[in-house]
Amino acid sequence: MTRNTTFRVLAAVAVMAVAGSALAQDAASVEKARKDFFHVLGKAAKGSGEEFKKTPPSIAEIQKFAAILDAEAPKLPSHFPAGSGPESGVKTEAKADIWAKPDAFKKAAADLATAAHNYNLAAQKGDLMAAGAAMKAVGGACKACHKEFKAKDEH
Amino acid sequence: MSALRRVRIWDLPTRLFHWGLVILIGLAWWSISTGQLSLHRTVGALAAGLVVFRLWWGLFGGSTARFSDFLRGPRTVLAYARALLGGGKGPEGLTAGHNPMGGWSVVALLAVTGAIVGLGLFAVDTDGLESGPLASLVDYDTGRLASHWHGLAFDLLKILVGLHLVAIGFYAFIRRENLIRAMIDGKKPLAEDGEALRPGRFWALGVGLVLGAAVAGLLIRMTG
Repeated sequence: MTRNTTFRVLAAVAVMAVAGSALAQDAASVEKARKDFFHVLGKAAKGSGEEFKKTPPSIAEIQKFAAILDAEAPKLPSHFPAGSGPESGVKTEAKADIWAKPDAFKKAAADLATAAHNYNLAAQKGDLMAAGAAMKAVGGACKACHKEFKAKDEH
Repeated sequence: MSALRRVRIWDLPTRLFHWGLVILIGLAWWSISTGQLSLHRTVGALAAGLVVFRLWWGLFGGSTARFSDFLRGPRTVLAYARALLGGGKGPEGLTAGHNPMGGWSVVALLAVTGAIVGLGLFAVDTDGLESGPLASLVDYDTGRLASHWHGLAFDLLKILVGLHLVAIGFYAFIRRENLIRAMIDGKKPLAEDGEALRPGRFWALGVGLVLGAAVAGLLIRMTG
């Protein structure tokens, strides 16, 4: 091997290593942002559920949580860019099916956005009964999508 | 064996506690595996009541149910283990209650079951929608952590139950002692001078039942 070839090979290996780690880093930061995003949803869902159980529930609190869910839910698909699945090597509960069945995933995400919007509409009207029913639909949308596209928690 | 007669060693409350917990652990596992969270919470509340009762009964119950009766120091435990596993005749004489190793196994099983129930009170599921009766006292992240440990503690319980079953098998096949039958009818073959069960007082049983039922009832109301 000439010196020149050796240099080229080394350079190519270095470029690949840098590119590879950049991708892995990217997937890791996507996963982190994704988790933070779902934490926001989870907190708003937990807050909602607990408020409805109170006697009487505070409509102001419910409006607050409903507004968060309505504002955040449409952002969901943006947290699943191509290449951020389990194949990235980053530990994630996102299943490969998200990208293998994009239409089904988009529909599941849209169902959540619609449910969250309905929840917010009912809450802003001050209609507790309707808001409660709409929140149940939000929960149903969470579960339906998790069932298909989220790897089961170990716990 | 002619010198042995079947003597009562486990009182009824201890046996009912034991089999009740077996049933509840099975129900808890089944209900969570099939997504029946309401049933899971009810089962957890009943298990909490059983644990509280058993702690009480460990202080004021029948002689063989008391912690003071079966918690021995490390030297006694080691000596027993050596005699047990060393083959030959094994440990001298048959004990009326828990043996020195079994006593600590009871404590471990009880502690882990208590931890599972305690963590379950604060657990929150990934959607933030299903939660234990006290989860409103903690935030989402803490609730998720409680849920995680709740599951890890159950893994630990499965290991302890596995050891428990292995030990029962060891006594059955190697030492020819039927521990399961003893836990059903409460009796075990003992030498005639063997120390038998001194039953607990009636008032102590009453207080224990009220305590356990109060805890279970309160938690069921909170989950309802």
